[in-house]
Amino acid sequence: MNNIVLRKPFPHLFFIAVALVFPFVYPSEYAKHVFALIFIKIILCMSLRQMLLTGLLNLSIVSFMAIGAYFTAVLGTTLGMSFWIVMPLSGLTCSLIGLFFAFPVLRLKGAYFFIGTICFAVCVQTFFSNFYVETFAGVPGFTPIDVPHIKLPGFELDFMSHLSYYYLTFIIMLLSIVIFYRLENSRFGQYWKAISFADRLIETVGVDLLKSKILNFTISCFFAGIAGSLFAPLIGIITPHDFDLLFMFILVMFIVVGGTDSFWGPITGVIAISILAELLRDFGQYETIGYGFILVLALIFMPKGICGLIERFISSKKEVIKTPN
Amino acid sequence: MGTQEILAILLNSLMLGMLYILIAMGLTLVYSILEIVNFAHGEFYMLGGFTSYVFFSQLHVNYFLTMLLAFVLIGGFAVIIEKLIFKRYREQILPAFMVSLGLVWILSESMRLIFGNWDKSVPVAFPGIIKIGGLSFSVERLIVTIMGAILIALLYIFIRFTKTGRAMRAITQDKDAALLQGVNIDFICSIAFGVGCGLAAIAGVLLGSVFYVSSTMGAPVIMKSFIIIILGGLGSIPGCLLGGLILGFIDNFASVFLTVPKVTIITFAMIFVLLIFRPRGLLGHE
Repeated sequence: MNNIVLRKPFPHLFFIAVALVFPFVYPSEYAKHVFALIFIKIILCMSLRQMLLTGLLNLSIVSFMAIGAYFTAVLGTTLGMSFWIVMPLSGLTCSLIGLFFAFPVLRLKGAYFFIGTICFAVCVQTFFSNFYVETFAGVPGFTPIDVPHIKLPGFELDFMSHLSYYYLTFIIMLLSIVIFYRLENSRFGQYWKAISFADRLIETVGVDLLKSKILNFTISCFFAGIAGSLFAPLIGIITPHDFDLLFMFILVMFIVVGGTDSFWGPITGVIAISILAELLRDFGQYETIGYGFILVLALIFMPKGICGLIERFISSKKEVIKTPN
Repeated sequence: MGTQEILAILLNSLMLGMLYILIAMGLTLVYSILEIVNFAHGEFYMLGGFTSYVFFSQLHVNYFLTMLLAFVLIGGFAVIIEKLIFKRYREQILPAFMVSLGLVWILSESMRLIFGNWDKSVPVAFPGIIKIGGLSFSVERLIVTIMGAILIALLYIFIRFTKTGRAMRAITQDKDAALLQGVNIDFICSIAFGVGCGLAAIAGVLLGSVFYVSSTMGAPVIMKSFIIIILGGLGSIPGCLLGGLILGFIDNFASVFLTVPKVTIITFAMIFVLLIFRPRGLLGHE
């Protein structure tokens, strides 16, 4: 049984417990807001990394996040639909759009794929800034956005407070992590890893190359849409500028710093860099250039990321125990 | 629309086409020899623009000398970057692409921190208009177009007829065989990277005086050069010429009739349609 919790329960349960208790130990509204954002970024980075398993860097993740966010804003606020229907719908819409986009773009390889996805990202950004301005509110941004709320007989919960939103994003992040984990260790996960090594070879053993890539692509689009859907009510205003190439580059930096080879890499990267950025808040104008240096230095000095360093440290300790002489 | 307007648009698209080709050729040169996609290529164009701002506009150095300076300085800087960073990522497209993403923000942000947020204007190098048979053209744009054409021709001659150029072509055909014949791959890679980025810097000097200089001027240009090399096919120089001219004309003619966002969407949509039918570009090969 390949269960995430049952196999090695303690580290995961420990971190989950820490995350659940955190808002009460450190009762700062700002910290909860930052952590809710971190959870959303984790979902995005996980879907970015899932695509990276096949050796393709999907730079259009932010555009699918944008589609999810605008979808939530328009359906939830303008048309007044319930958030709990809109969120899965926005994920499904993103995977549907991803499916149409996947057919041309997944036939591309290597460099062509990066450029194709960047083209899509620029297209989506241009679309939301300039087209249907009365619906999407153009460059100034769509605001206000209704927050999700639960209304049952005898029970009413508004996700206005940072505390409730913290738990909402946390639960959805946990669910997505479990799904990503199960997918990576499933048959399809094996196919995806094999594709990155030898895509011609895997076709000869009877795996439909395009189909398994499309599956990967649509799943990562789905989660990008969910992330966008969570992002919109949290921030309260979405502009096309939120989903530009800078944000994409920051996501890439997160997974590189965390380690692209390890499943826990994106989580480590997002948490490490986001907390570092909060601690260095006073040097805000050097933020982007600092991220640039972090990305370049991380790629040069720790190409396997923080998780790679930890794994190497653990395995070197194990060897010491095995060979005492 | 009269003949005058059509000719003006033609000249404009030819000028932009030439400079896009100049930038994209550097990109395609780097791709075919180092086998990396340098997303930071547009930032070298931006650095060229700032060279012209510092030397031509502030220190009043001669225009052509500024171009030479930009080529040498930015090209030399590019060689240093190649030695420090890109050398270890040859033929590894993914990490090289990620590193170049980081470089984009390092270079553009450092220029923003040094020179400030505002656009810098560079004075017109060759003011005035020239009249040919009752039609008037801006001298500057004519000279920029001609310079672009000359540089493209020089690059072609360099690749086609010099010993270094022959070594470059040998590397693109078969790296191991080239190594066996005594080609110094490290040296050729540095030269290719330096020349490619130096040409982008010259394009920055040429266009800096036509438009303006800012730390974000590299981003749209890199997208356009990518479109060009996708249109023509990565690593193909004739494809690059074709793609540049097509893009220059589409950009200018479509901008006359449509708004800029629509042109952007149309250009990208065109790329997708092309990629569906020819995943390797118009003149690309495996």
